[in-house]
Amino acid sequence: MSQSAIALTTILAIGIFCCFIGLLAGKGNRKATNLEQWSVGGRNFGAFFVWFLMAGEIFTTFVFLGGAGWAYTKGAPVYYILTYAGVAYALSYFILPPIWKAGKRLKLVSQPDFFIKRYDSRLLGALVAFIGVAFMIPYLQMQLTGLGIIVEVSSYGAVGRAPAMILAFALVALFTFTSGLKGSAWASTIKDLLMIIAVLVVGIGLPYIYHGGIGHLFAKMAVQHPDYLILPGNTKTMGVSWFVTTCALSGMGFYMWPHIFGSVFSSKSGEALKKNAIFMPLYGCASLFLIFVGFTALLTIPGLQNGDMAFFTLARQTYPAWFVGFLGGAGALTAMVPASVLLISASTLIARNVYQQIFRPDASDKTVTFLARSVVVVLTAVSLYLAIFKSTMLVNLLLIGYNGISQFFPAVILGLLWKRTTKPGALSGIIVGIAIVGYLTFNGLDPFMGCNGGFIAMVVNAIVLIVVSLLTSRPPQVVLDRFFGTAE
Amino acid sequence: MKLLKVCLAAFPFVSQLAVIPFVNRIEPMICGLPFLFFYCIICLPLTSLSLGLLFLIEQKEAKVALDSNTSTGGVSQ
Repeated sequence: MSQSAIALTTILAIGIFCCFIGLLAGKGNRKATNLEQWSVGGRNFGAFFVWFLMAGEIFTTFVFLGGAGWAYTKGAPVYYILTYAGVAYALSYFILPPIWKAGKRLKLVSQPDFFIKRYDSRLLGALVAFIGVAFMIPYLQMQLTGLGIIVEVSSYGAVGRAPAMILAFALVALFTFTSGLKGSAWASTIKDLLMIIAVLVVGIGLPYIYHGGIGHLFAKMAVQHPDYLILPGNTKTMGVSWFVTTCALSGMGFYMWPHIFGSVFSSKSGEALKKNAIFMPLYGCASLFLIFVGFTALLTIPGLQNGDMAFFTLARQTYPAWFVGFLGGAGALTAMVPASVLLISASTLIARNVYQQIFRPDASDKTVTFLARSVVVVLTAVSLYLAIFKSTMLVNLLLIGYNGISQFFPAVILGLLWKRTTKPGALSGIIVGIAIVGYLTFNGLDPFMGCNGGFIAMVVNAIVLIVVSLLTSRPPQVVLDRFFGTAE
Repeated sequence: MKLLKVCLAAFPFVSQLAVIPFVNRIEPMICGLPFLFFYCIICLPLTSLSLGLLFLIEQKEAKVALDSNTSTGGVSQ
């Protein structure tokens, strides 16, 4: 067998094995046709599953390829993937238990549900659903692009990027249909296991093979590329203020992703969420090995056009084909599994929160489930189109997504902490925030004056929310009592 | 105890956001890593540690509160 055949067979075998596990786990419960089962897994996931669902979210193809890619092209700004994770998990310790509590009391299954109950407004719920789904598209595009890169490079060029992404599209859609959330959680455990093995072997192995160890790697870096080791790295705009605002924004945004917010509701208790928050930062450490890989690649194979390909290009010239295939398989799962979790929640949002709650309250469960599955196909197709025709670096896609999604943060947090927050306040804050993000992104103004553009948008968003809330009349006591459970 | 809880809660945010401007340097290299990189890494286990301690304190307080409730309510264990 040729090298590319060996590598591709290994990748496919891992992908199919994981689909099979997902299918098995999804079939295990007969009620999988029910939308609530499919989307929150019946609200009985213990710490173990929630851990893998959530921890899985940070190990996407972005970390796998983009982490090394950013170290390779930009240097120190990539450290942000470590720090934002720490900030996000620390925040989760404090904000998730109250969100979970409200979810349990009011039987919430999704992020828009939270807004509908707190602000007594279906319109706001639908808006949140739409914005959430809109910003999931760059995230999904990122997964498909990553998968395309993996298959392209590890097949030694035998399969082009576009066919690889179409294959990826088919696999992801199929996996999503059959597995549901429970299947994804199982697949996620396998993914994380393979990912950790891959990352450790490569992250320690490559610096050792080429430079005689991690200490030597950085000693060489300090001589050849000292500018890469501190902020702003090999950039002009990503200095300390960019770093701090980006970590703050991404930390606050992390749990605002509709699919991650939704996974909070599948937890069995608030305590499980706190325990997760304690252990997750340790897990976040895994990303540092990819930074090692990126720096090793910089010293060993400089001058690549696309930094995202650094990881696999270096792996390919170092390891035998079967191991490249193993890396490819692990990498493919880091794209497939998060993509499917994302699709499950995006489609549920559109079918349930927009279609059923706004347009057709009398729609049957069967219709809604059918619609949800159609949305899966449409969304993957749109992302596939973007991935093929509008390619951009993975990390840029991630940052655009975070800028948008974080605009929910003020309305969620102030909604929990400050009873005076009103519907017009939350609505205008979100709209202003999204408008600023759109303006900065489309005019290429992010980072803005040395700060993360999304962070600036969020500050303005919070100010607008507070001012408008104070100018409008206090929310009805009945709504507050119901939401905070103070009626009894 | 209250002060300790506030410090533990604030630690992850202060160390990972506010302190960054003061650690943006290569020297001293620690464990072969440039200082900024080392600092970003070490903050993660320290975050776990501070949240873990906070969790233990909260648990202990909840238990004490529960015990005193049951004893004043006269419910035997």
